[in-house]
Amino acid sequence: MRFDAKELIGRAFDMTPEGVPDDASLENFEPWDSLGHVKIIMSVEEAVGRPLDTEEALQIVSVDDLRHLLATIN
Amino acid sequence: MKQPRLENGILSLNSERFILRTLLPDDVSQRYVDWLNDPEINRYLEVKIPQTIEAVRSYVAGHDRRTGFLFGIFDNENRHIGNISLVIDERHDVGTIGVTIGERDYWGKNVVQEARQAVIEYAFGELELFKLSGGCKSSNVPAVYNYQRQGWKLDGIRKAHNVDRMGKRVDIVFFCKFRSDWQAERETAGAQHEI
Repeated sequence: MRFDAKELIGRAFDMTPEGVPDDASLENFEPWDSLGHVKIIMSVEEAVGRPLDTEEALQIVSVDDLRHLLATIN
Repeated sequence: MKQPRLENGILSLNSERFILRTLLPDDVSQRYVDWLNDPEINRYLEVKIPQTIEAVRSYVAGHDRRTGFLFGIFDNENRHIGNISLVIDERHDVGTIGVTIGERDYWGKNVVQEARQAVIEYAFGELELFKLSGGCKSSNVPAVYNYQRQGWKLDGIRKAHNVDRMGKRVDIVFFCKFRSDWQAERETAGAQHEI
């Protein structure tokens, strides 16, 4: 199953994928604070059906980086 | 490393919202001890519980304010809300920072990054350290976020190095910041300010 990075981030914040900017990152996307980061990781873990390992979780800092991570998981 | 300049044996640093002041044993209150014994607060800390006021005073006294600093974080009403430590290995010009926010009403309010930035400025700007490090359990996602958001680099992962409260082994993630990173950040911030 393939997952979309913006969809998973949107799920974490109860918003549509379109509401997540293409260049969103923990540096520039307001909802992406420390609690938001927890929600994103939970959203990704729920989608992939397993806990992320530390190296994977550390990669999640932007839409692009999540996209790269998902490409390796999908 | 340059030597710290203390006033009456105390070192104070200012951030936008807080004063960071090195603690003395007499600063240890029952409230502070209660933080350490609170399961939700000590969840990610490496402290033996139960803690006593005598044990915490002894811990505070163990910081010599030359290579070991334990700052209390005080808000604008002089309320002690947490601590941040800087422990220096002067042989190698490196320091390790640790932070605890004890008052729950300050959780999620960017206290960690703001207080840590004040210590970063002091460690690199005044003491001229070469490198700072910090670490947390991998399961402490908000702490990991704070390091990444503040531009710390991954320094290494110690696999399955700790056991969490549920008995599960967790990794310890180490982050670092070099003086050269800090200087580059300042130059970038300065350039943006000029624009």
